[in-house]
Amino acid sequence: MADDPRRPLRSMTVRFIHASDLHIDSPLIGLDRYPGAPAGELRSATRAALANLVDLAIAEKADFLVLAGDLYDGDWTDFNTGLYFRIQMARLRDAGVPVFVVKGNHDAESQITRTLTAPDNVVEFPSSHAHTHTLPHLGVALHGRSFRDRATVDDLAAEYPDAIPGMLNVGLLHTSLDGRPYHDPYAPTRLDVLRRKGYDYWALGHVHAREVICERPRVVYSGNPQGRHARETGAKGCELVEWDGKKLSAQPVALDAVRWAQLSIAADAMDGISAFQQHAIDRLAGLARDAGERLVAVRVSITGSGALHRLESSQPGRMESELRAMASEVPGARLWIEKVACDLRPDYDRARLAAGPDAIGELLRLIDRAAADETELAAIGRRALEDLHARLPSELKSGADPLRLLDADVLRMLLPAAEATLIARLLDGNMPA
Amino acid sequence: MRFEKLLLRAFGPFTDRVLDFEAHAPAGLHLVYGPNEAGKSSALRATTDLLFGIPLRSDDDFVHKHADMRVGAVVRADDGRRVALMRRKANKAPLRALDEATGQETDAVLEADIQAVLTGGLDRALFESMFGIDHARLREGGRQLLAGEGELGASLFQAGSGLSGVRAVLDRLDSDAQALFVPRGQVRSINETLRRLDELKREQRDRTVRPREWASLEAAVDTARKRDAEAAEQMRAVRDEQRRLERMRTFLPQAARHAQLVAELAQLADAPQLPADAAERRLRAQAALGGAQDAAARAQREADELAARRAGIEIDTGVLAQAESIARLHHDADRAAEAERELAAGSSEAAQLARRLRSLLARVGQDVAIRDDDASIDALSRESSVSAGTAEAVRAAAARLASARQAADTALQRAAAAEGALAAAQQALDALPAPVDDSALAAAHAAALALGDIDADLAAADARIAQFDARIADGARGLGACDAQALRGAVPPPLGHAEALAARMANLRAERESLDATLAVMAAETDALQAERARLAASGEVVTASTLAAARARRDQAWARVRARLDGGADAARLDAGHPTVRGAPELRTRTARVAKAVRSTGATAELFEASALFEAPARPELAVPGPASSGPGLARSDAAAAPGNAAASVAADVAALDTALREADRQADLLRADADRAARFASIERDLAERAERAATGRARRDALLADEQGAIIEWSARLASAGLPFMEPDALVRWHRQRDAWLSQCALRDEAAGTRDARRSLRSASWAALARALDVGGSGRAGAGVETLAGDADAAGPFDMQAPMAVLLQAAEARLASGRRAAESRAEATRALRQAQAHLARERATADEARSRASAAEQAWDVAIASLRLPAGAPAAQAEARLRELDEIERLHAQWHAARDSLAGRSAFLAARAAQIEALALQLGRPLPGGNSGGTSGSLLVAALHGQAQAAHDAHAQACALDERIDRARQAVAQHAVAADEAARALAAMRAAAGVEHDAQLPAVEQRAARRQALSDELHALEQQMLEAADRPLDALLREAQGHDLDAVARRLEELAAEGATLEPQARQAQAELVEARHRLAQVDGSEAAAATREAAESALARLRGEALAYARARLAHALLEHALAGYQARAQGPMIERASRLLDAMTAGRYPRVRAEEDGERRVLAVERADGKALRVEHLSEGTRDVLYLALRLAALDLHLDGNPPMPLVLDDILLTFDDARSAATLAALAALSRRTQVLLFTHHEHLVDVARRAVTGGALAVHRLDADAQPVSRSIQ
Repeated sequence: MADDPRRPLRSMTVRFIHASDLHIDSPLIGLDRYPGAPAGELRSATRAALANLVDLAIAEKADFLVLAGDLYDGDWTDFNTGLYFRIQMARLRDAGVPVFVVKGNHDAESQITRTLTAPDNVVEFPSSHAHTHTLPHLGVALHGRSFRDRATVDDLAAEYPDAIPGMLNVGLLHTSLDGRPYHDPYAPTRLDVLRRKGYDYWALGHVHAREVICERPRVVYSGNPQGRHARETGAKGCELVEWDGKKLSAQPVALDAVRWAQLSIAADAMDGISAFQQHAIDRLAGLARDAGERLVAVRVSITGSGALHRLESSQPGRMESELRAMASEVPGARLWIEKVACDLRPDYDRARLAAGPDAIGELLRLIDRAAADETELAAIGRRALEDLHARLPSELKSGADPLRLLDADVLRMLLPAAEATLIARLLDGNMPA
Repeated sequence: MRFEKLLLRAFGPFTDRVLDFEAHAPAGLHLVYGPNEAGKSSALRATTDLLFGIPLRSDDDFVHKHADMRVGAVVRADDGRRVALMRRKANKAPLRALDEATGQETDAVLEADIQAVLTGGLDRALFESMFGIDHARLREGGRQLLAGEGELGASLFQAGSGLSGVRAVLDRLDSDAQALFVPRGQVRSINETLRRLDELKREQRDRTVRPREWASLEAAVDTARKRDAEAAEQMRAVRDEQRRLERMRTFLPQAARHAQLVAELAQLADAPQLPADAAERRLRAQAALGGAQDAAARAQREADELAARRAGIEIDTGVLAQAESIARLHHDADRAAEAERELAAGSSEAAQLARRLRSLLARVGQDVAIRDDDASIDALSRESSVSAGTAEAVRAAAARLASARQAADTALQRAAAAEGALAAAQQALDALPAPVDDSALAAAHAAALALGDIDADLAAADARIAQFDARIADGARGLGACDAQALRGAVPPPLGHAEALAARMANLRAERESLDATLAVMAAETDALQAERARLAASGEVVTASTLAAARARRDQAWARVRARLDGGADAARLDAGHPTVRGAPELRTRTARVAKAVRSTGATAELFEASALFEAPARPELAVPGPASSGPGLARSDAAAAPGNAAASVAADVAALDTALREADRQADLLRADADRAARFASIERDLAERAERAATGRARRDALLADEQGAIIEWSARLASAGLPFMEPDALVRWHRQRDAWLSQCALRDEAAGTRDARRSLRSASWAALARALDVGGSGRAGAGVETLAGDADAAGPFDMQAPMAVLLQAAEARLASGRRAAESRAEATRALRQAQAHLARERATADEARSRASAAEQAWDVAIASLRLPAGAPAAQAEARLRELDEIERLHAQWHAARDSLAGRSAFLAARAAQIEALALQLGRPLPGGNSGGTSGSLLVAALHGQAQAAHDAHAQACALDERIDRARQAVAQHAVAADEAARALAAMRAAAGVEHDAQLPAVEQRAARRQALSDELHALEQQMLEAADRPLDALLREAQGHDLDAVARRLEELAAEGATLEPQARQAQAELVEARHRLAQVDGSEAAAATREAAESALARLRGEALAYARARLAHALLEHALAGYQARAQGPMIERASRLLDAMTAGRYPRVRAEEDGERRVLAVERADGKALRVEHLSEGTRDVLYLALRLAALDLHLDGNPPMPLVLDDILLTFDDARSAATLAALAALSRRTQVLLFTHHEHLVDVARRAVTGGALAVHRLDADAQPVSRSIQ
């Protein structure tokens, strides 16, 4: 343990960096390159994050670097990605920084990892058993085991050796621990298993959000160095760890080239587009300030009721266009509006209107009937959307957020928007030209 | 929900205006009229702002600030609640409870459900669409009908929702969708994105390098590298041999020359090794030796010649030693001569200056003291000098003296003038009249003025009292009294009694009038009922339950009579007496059967059987009521047949009567069944008539009683009035009389008060008049004083003063006298003030003159003191002093010049004396004779000039001797140097001889030739070996040995063979190398670039765009489909009822010109049309614009009517929708709105006043209320009906 009295005191400070889940060349998802958007950093964001990591290791004169798995996307086969990794590792070799790697679930299925020969400063832990590498000149022992297969569901940590007394013991493990949202349950284990090993530091990978699981011993998910979609918000990077022989200290260091942020706007008190614009520009400026020089990708959600509901309903996408325009007007900022989710409610009592015998009541009842009757809804949807649905690519119809236009759920989700558009436009048309 | 009140508390131009919609209930149609600038539009906005909130940037803040804006209302909710509220312009808690009593909002925040009550769950836009119609919307509705060519679904949907532009919305949704995607398009956004996505996928495939491909590329490089190495090795072997043989071909001749040189060198092995330039060095040494020896001889000769010349030179050392002193004295010779001349001239000038000084000193009075020596002159001159301060003081004293004397003269002149002025002032005062005492007159005048314009006041008071008297007299007459005094003393009945009686009589009268009205109504109703009864009767016989009952009673009576005949006649007699017995049907049937049996046994007629059979029909004996005692022919006949006579005939007659009665009763029963409604109405009328007759009788009795009470009260009242001496009047008139008499008595009291005041004022006038008259000495004596005669001449002309004369005349006389007195007093005071001022002025001027004289005297004394220092007598004039000052200045100036001349003479004399001493000392030192005369002057200068020439010659000889000494030294040094050089050359030749091994210099050239040959051969051999070694890659010995086994021809042949081999191998090697380069290039292309990743990123971006666009497309398409479905659905459901109600409305609003709305087929469409009165159908495009507007309005009102079938009412707010309607159409529309207002409140705002009249004519029955919004008038709602 960190304060083990048997450990000989060392005058030298050990400094190392813990990173994981690089997912090099994995694309940033959901960013439409609308005109005026700052597109430069997108295609190389994960590469830039890796380069930042290497720059940091060299600048901080790190004694070693540990990578806790998932260097690449499993299904990505472009060997250039591996070569880029090798080039960056060679920089570390030239700077005298050894790198210790465990393969994660993505790496296990990656063809790149099987083919690529890394520079000799990169040490990969075996997948057949847990192994220990020591750095006697530093008094450091590193323990780890790589994934053999993608679907590794054994508790790998249980087989890790006990700590070597008198040394700084660092464990590398790619694991979902006891379960984490949005992450597959690979190499599960428990905190008490990790504690029993007697290590000083557990460098975990697999979970993309930074999380300090435990302080003594320090068990940490460093998170990925570059957020890849709107759920991976905030600063992303690595852990810079220092051991002075007695005490372990660590700090997160941001490495991301593009930062994701979420912005919620309550529109109830806004009586028009001017108020919305002013509010949006202030909030976006705040996000830009927090992110420094980085490009910020923002997902915006607008809630509430009032004047903006009718405007957005009449001109679907108006809020998104306004926000994109505002993003370009924030002085000195580099903002990308990833998506605008409008959850705006009308001011009228819909249930009461739907009960009325008049034409609007007829329309609302039709929509309610369609929402309740999948057969009728499917018929309407098929007639309206079949042509487009047939042309949509399979990537859009599958994956984590599939868009299948003829599915009842999707159609039901679209009904309120269609209704709002109809009411708003009919009201617009009601005003004499 | 409906409005009961609308409170425009602070909104637009309004402040605390109220529109009270309930004041004239049950009106449902409210016409709110506001002319231009009255704020109609603001009131309209206030109505919707009340419901939905005041907008953030409301324009209705031009009177009240945003924060102060308020609009309130009292509304009746659908559940019956009555809510009073006030709307503020605020984000938080905008709705507060309203205190109706004060019209102020309270702090109570209303619950959120009140908002739902107000809006019916709608937002502003929906409310304005569904429950608001203005002129523009009406026009737009008509235009949309035309634009859609009356397409039925869209037209009904628009009218049914209040929305418009349905077809345009559908078109826009179509256009939105098509802008994104068309199935077979290329340039639409989604189509373009799909195409781009395919491209990106292809690019990604192309740019992706799979690990297997990379391994393959790496293997290809290895193979190429091996092939290249093999080819290169073969080429290298050939090239190596080629290079070796080429070297050999070059080496073989060099080896031969090497052997030759080695042999030749062996022959010269004994030759010494000399330097290569040994001969040149020997020749240079021999030349140097000869030259040095020659030069030494020439230098020695020169030294000898110079020594001889030096010995011949002589020098005068004595003069040379004093050369410097001699030169200095010689230099000052000119200055000494000048000093001698100036000494003579300066003595003369000094003497002249001394003479002028003596002359001036004598003029200023110093002549007595003058002595003829310089010291005296100098002393007297110094004594006579005047300082600048003294001169300035003398001049200042002169100026002060002149000024003081002038001031004294001026002061004396002013004192004399003041004495003259004092005498004039005294004369003026003495000339004024003596003063008069007007104090009594002034007091009387002030007292009279304090009364004001008392004559006018008294006249006004008289007039006012006269008016009072007139009004009192009129009032008394109006109160029925001839004598005002009697009226004052009259004791009428107490007011309370009169009021009680008046109230009683009013109640009696009101009740009586109410009864009269009721009786009149009843009479009218009775008339109407009788008329209706007459109409019913005129339409045929009227059978009622009562007539049927009467018929049946007659039947029963006939039967009783028959039965009595059959039973013995007692009952018949009783029946005849008009007392029939009520019997039930069973008994009747039984007895009829018995009658029939009896008749058969006695041979009665067949009709009787028929009659008995008829009795089998159901009867309703329970309805049998007593009928009229004798009515109907049957009974009459029965009576006739009952007369005594033949029994059988009587029985037959009775049976016949019975038969008739039976038939009549049955006929009436049949008629009653056949015309039950008419009969029921007839019976109802009969009952109503009877009831009204009874109520009318009761009412009339009550009326008569009331009239009697009223008359009794009047009689009693008349007696009371008569006893009070008052004429007859109604009790309520007495109440008014009482009030009028109280007012009259107040007038009397006021008159008395005015008279008292007037009299008191009149007394004051008299006293004041008397006091004034006394003071003026006029009054009752009729005499006027002298002052009055003068000042009030008009009064004298009018006659003597008396009390009747106007007060103003007396006041005018008093004011004239007082004014005259005031003017005299003012003149005297002015003269006295002038005299005092003149006296004071004279005193001041005299003091000033004394002071000026004193100053002049002091100035004279100072002057005398000042000129005494100039040795002038006291009182000498200033000009004399000024002349003396100029003389003293001249003495000072000359004295200075004289001093300067004497100092100059002394300096020159001292110079000449010192020079003479120096010259004499020099002559003694050099042994020269002393010069005669002044040694410092010209004679001494001659001696100095001679010595100066001698010193110059001695100096020149000395310089020449020094130059010769230097040249002798240089010649001797050259002799020594040449000797050293000759020694060095001799030593060098000796060393050369030793190196060559010879004894004489002549042997040296031969030895030098052999040594040079040996060196040349050795150098050539060395160079050759170097050349051979450089060309070879092995030691020289090995090369020389290798060369021994070769010959030149064989080497040449082998080289040709190797060239051929190389030519064959070289292309192969180049090919292998190119293949290696290519393989490496292909491998190098896999460089870790991000091209594939960038394409993947671009594809993800395209997918993101595609997702957004697909959702937008789906939204538009789905909205389109839903709206089309809704159009069809609403058309199917609402077409019938809407067209039916719209037809009625259109018929009414166009006064029957277009009686129907109908749907027509137009190809595959159904369209709206209206039917003209002549049956012709017109499509909307064939209608005029105005008629289309009316058609749209009819459809809208029909839809609202339908809406109200199943929904709680909301106020319908209309704004000038009748703008383009003529009066007839406006009237018809207003009537239709009035009909709709029975179901929901209708608020119609208008600018047009004529609509008020149109509405009054068109809407009757209390359904209309008109409210005005005039800007200035308080717009309290006013009921028209």
